[in-house]
Amino acid sequence: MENPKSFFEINDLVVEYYADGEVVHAVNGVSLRLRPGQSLGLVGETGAGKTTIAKSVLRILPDRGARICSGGIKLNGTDLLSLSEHDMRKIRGNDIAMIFQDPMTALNPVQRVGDQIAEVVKIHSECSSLEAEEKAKEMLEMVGIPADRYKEYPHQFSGGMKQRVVIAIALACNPHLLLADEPTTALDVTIQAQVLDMIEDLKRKYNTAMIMITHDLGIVATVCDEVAIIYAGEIVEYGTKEEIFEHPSHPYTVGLFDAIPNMNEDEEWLHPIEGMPPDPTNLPAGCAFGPRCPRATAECREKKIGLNRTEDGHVCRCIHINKTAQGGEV
Amino acid sequence: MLRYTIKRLLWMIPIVLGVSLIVFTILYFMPGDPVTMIAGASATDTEREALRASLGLDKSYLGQLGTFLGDTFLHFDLGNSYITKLDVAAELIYRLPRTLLLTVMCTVLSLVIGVPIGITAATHQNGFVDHLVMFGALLGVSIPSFWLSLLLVLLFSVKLDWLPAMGIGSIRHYILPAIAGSLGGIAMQARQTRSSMLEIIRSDFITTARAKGVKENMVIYKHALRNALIPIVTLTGTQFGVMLGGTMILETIFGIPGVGTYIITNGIGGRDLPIIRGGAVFLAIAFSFCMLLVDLVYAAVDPRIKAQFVTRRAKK
Amino acid sequence: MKKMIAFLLTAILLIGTLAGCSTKAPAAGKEEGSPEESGSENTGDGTEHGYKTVKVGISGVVETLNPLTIFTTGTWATLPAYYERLAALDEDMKTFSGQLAKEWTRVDDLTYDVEIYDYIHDWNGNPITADDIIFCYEKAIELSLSGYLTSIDSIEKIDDYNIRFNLKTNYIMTIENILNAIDIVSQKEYEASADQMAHECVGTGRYKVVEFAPSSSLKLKKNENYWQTEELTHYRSTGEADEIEIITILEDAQMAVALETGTIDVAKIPVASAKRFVDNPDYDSFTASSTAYYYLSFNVSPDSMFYQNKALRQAVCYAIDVDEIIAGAYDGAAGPMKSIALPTLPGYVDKWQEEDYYSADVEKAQELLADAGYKPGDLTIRLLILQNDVNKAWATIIQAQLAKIGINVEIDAKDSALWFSQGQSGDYDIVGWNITLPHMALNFAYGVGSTNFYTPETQPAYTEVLEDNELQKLLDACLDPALCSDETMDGAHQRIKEQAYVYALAYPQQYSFARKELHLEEPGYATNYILVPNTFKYAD
Repeated sequence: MENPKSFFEINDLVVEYYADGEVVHAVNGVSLRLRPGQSLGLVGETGAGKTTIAKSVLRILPDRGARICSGGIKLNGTDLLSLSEHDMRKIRGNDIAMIFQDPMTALNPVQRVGDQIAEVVKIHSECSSLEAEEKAKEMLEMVGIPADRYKEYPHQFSGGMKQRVVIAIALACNPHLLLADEPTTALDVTIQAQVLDMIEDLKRKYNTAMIMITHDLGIVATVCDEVAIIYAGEIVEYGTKEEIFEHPSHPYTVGLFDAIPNMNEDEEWLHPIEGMPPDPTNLPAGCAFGPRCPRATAECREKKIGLNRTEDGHVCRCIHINKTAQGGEV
Repeated sequence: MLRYTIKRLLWMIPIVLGVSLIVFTILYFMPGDPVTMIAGASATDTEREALRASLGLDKSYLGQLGTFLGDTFLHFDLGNSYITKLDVAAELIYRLPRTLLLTVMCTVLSLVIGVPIGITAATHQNGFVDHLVMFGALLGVSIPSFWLSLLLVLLFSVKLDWLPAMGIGSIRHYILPAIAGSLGGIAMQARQTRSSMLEIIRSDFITTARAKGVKENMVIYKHALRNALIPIVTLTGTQFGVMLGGTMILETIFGIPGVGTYIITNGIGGRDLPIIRGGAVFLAIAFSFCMLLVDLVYAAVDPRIKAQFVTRRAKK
Repeated sequence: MKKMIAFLLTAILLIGTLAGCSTKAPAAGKEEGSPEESGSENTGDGTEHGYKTVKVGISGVVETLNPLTIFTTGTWATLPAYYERLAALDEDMKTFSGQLAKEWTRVDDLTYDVEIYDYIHDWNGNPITADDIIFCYEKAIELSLSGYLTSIDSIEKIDDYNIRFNLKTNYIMTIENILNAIDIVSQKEYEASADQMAHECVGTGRYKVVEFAPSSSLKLKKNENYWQTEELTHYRSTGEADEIEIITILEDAQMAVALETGTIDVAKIPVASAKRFVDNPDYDSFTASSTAYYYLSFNVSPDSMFYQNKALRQAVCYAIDVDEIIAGAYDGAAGPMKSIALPTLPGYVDKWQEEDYYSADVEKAQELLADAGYKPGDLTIRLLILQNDVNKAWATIIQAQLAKIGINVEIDAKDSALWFSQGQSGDYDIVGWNITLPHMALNFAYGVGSTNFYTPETQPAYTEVLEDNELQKLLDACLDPALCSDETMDGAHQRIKEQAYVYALAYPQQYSFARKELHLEEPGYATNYILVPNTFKYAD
């Protein structure tokens, strides 16, 4: 996976938060790669560190209380972490854009919707206010909102429409990379489908690469090419969608798939993963998933586990891969 | 919006009536007879009765109330001072510009100094600047304006001779009173701004703005501040309204014959009932206007509130 | 860290409060600047007699120039400059002489004829005649402006310069009080004015009002066309300065500041701020009596502890030590009072000042308390005083002094309106009163006797209240202008003193200071010792 002239890569990113005198190990050595136009799904439960990774890319973590300790993030060869704030600003919204989770609060309540889109256009190009307005109207149409609603305010829109505005803002400057942080979590299922479709269309149109952060495997199946499973700030499994869906290897991944109720069979009970995610201020010495893992042995608790290759070629952070949950050979 | 404004203006009528009624009743039952005060020690009983009749103070509660309400609201006549016989309404109008100037200056200073200080404290939360500002604010609300005024006079008039100590000759005369009077306001605005801003800065849309690549300055002033304005506007409006009638201490110390001294020293001190009543009516009206203005500003600043004010029409 | 900050800031605050402590003398450099500030063109070495502009600070407000309205502290100071009356007090503060009136004669017990000068005219040249006088008086009676006017039954015009006053009652100084009651203006001008001369006036006085900022300041300019001759000009109408500016300063501390910075040239300074001017070579100082004196009036109504109980009253009198009060409440700047008003008043017999007046004697007080039928600890006295720092000080001292003989005192301090009305309600055992009528007999009549004020009209007041026929007779003699004499006054005074109906405290001194450049020889006062700027005398 070492592509010399990669489009986007994150190398060994470590991010810590500071709260109440304690250190929260949010991201513990995450690495990933993207090719232009490619979609990567970042899957994990709440608190796994997914949003932190996204915010680190844009460097919009809170000033106090968060720190990127080490690691590198490169876009087209440029190291984003070493850029000045001034240069970083040129990237935000322009080369890399982000869609946020909660559309209800993502927009400025006292600014007209159209102006919010026009703002991002004006910042990143030399155009006049009028031209920016035109572009903003175009974007509105593109996300399925009539352009004459330009002058309206966010509170006059429904949740789904607000999210479309957010998408319009994100895509207004044709970014190379789109970070979508659970964009449909807060929406109901029918709208969800619409929004996903729209994202897909636009993605194709502009050839935008995307990191889709989600906890919903169904969405991953729909829109992603590759998948990375995150647990306790680490990537525990990483491969193409087919590889992960057909051959889940990490016990956590297996657990995730098992937890999905089977529509075809008659089941009485759901199969959750036993236990709770570890306290990020006090991570276990060995494998982070160890305490909950049915396959765990003494070896697992001793030291950090590295990435191992599975049968079909994708990577997994487990020393007991190629074994089933029951401990037998695959 | 126009209908909303008119509705509010109409609401002012019962409010002012209510205030007048309450003030009148309190004054009626207040101990301290104006007639004795005016007539003096050496007046005879017949003389006092004659004075009482001429002032209309011999009528019953309802009789006096009726006269008062009738004069005030039907003829717009606030009566004449018992002591100087000057027309109360005319005196209030004569004194108003001075009090207004002082009030405006204090309010402007509070905003111009207090809000930026509050923003700075919010953006540097828990830093040295933040602690300094918060402590300064604590001092500001705790320091009595009386003490501060005299200290300012000692420093700037006596020792340095930069500013006049008292009087109303020019704008320069209002500088020291404005400083003394605005300190509390600056402190309150700073605290309010800080807490508003802290709340807003944590909002998601601020993150969106940053993610768009908006300059930090713009994030603070254009995106955050505009949303944080509501409580600031409320505070400004209340401060302004209260100051209009409450500048008595400053006016006395700095020799500014304004509305504050008129109502309190002349009116209450001299038991000059028309002044107190007229002053109460005036303040009720002024304060109502202030609050109306505040609400209109809300509507201008926050479209969600404007939508609330104009809901009726949309529902067809 | 936080404790450190807190400590530092407390220290800063403490230092800040000390910054307010006054320095001994004002910056010497101030004085060079002052001639410009006081506006006088002369270098202040007094080569000219008659000064360009004198600025005087007063602590009252002048809200209106209307002559026919109630007097206030502010207008007492300013009226004599621009208005005149039929008669007024002379410089000695005792005798009345004619200002607009040439003379007045007693026709009979209830009738006086007054002759006015026949060449009086106001600033606009209007001649002042009997019609104007009668107009002003009738207006004043209509507006109930002065209690003295209720003695008038009717006023007749004899001719253009002669008026007859028919009185209902005639007591000591009644006619003088009537002639001094109101200021006179031309009827024509008064009626022509849209606001009763509130903002612009036309008077007969020595100074014209050229600028008036109500409640703030007043500018006066000498009237070149003053109607009276130099020799006959009344004291109240004197005027040596060319221009006078009178500035109202309500706040005590600011008065001192204004004098220091040269905003004003002369003012009465309260004792608290006076120290920095007293031994200061840049200022001339003047002392005078102040009318802020108080006497204790015992409630002698039938339900009071002091009713028919001379021993108890005297016990209180002997327990009080006035010297302690003078030292404690007045900082030494006061003298002991021997009667309830100032020795300079007409009707005051000089020898009273030398008499013994219940000098402090604790043992005697204890004896008398026992005689009165009370044991130490039995009594609680409710004392009412006008609320201000000085009064609270002496009331506290009295409280301590009476505690020594076992009487408990509760002090109640109220603002002037409440003090005035509640003091007359009979709810208090002792009231700290103040009386400043122009004749001692009137002060006796109005100020002694329960805590109520009785008017000669409601006689026989003393028979009813004090149940003291003897005092009634003595007082009647004093109030009759024909019978009033030193003997009768003394008689009443001794009776009041011996019966201990009242106990006088101390009369405070007031200080006025003037910048040396002003060459002020002597400030002038009104009866109540308020500075009257136009009557100031300057050295040549």
